[in-house]
Amino acid sequence: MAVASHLPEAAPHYGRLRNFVAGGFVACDSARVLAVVNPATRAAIAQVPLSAAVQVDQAVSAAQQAFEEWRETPPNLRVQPLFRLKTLLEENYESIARVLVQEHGKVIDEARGSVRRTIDNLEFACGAPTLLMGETLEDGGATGIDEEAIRQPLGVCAAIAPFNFPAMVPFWFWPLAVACGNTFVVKPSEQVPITQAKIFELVEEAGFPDGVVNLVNGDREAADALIADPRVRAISFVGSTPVARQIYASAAAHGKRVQCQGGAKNFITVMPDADLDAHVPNMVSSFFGNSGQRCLAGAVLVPVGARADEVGERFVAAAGKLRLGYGLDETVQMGPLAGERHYRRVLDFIEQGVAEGARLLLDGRNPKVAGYPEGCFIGPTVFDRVTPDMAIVREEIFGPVVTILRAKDLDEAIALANSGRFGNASSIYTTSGKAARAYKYRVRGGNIGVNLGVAAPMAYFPFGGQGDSFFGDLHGQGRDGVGFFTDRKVVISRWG
Amino acid sequence: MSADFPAITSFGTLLKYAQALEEHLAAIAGRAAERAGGAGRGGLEIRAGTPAGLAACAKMHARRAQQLERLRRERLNEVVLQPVAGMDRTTYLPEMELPVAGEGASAGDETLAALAASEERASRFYRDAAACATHVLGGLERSFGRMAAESAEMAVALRGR
Repeated sequence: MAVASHLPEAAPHYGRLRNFVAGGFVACDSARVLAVVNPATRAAIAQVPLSAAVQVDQAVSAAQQAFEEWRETPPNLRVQPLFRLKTLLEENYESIARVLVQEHGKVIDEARGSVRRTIDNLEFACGAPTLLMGETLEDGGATGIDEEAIRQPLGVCAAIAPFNFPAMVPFWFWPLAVACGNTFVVKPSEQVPITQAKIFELVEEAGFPDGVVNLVNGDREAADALIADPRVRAISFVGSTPVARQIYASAAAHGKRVQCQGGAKNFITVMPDADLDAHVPNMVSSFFGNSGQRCLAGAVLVPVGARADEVGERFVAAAGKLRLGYGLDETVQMGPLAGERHYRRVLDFIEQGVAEGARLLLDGRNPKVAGYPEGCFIGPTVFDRVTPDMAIVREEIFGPVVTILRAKDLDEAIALANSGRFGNASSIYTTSGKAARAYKYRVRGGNIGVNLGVAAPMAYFPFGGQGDSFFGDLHGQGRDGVGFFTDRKVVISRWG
Repeated sequence: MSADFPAITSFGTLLKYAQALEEHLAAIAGRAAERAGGAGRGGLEIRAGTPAGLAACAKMHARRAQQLERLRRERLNEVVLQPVAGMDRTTYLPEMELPVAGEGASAGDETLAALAASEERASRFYRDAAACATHVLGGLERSFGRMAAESAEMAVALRGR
């Protein structure tokens, strides 16, 4: 029986993308151009020009020019275009999700979920008039001397975004920054620039004053230009740990405020008392959702105690049933890797695991995906009998590859979770409150899950890791975001 | 018409199936209400005990379709996504067409029986979906449970029991 579950693509090709500068789209005449490729079909679906320093300069100049007037705009008026953008995003929710699938490869539910979180961040930023309120203390300095602490915007801020969440990650930063009175330059990943281009069509419609928010397409050259520009006061970055570390150092050396979210290797602990019937599907989603390409994905499965074999068997059985395909087919449960280079990298890790002697319980190499023989697909892959020194256990793979590392008890599981250099996220599945409490108390990580495998903070909570997963002080989102995008000033007053 | 009811493998397909169900039930209940509108046509009439008649039945399903669209948009986020298994799409398919209207009471009985059977399957769908949602989306569990109860009540009313 035919089932109409395949959604249409929003468009077959999106042409040559443009930058958005000073309130309008402008052509970028850079000679360096990349093809944006649909990873399921390997069809070219857009061309993205890679901006050079001169194009970055135009965007930063526009943002700088807009800053003074924007910061003097009352906060309740600054959030009005954000409200309008929220409405426009709701109206275009489905079409943006489909573009996202087309350029990134994630399945439509994942795309819709990330658009929802994009909107969540926008909604949070709309609360800026309250979030920005300061503190005052009458007679705080001395009798007759009042003291107040206020928040002021920094100036031009910029975000350098990763490839795994093309819609959402820029929205961790720019709506809040702009609501706080800053102006902004977004640089999406050159691998997945179309979603932001479509969103910026709505930004244009929402009616922000010219230059308040700008978009520059490009690669490292554009990122370096943003980091080096003295007018840019703050940099937000999300990507791999080596690049995060490098940008943190470079931006700090240029005197900027900086927050860099890096890689992850997240341990998922399953206690012997865990409710496997209820939670195995959730574990599978943690490891294989977004094809493993998220900083909150599970990477190492740590079954504890006597039921370790059972946990492994049930996990592998469930993972093996996942349906691969093009994410616009709504019945598909896992899409391709986001691009050729990353696809090759993940395959290399699998080869390395085999070469290092790990036992391959589930081999996702060369899956047969009907209709998409050219796609960058790797199926769920599970290694057992690994040792902590193997590269597949130590390094971030950022793909649908799981290693199983057994622990004899909770203490050993916690020690394993803390053994790596990363500290982004970790989860425990248990029916014991005591075990859950010990886990969240002792495990190093910015995001801890209890009976859920993707511990993703909502827009009103801070989002960031520890260890080598984060470089900086203030995380993205929530009140940390307000702190990052504002300077504190204390005023002490005496009258008469 | 059955082509609109996808395999249930994910949050999106679960909601899509539910929406297809509601739209279909609204349509066939609406058609039945039109038939009932003509006095004596096919002997179809609203039985005692039917909550507010076939038109109200159609309206209920239209309202639920809108509610499901809101749930689909608002409740979906990556924290709660996980594969959905164990719900066979063929189990819950409604009657695709109403029996051809003829003369006499029997034709009306057949139509009401077809609608009632569809409501019973819808009730079962939402009962299973509520169980499925327990570990996926707590908020949906309550909504699905309510829809299961509504459809069960509607089925009883349509059967005139």
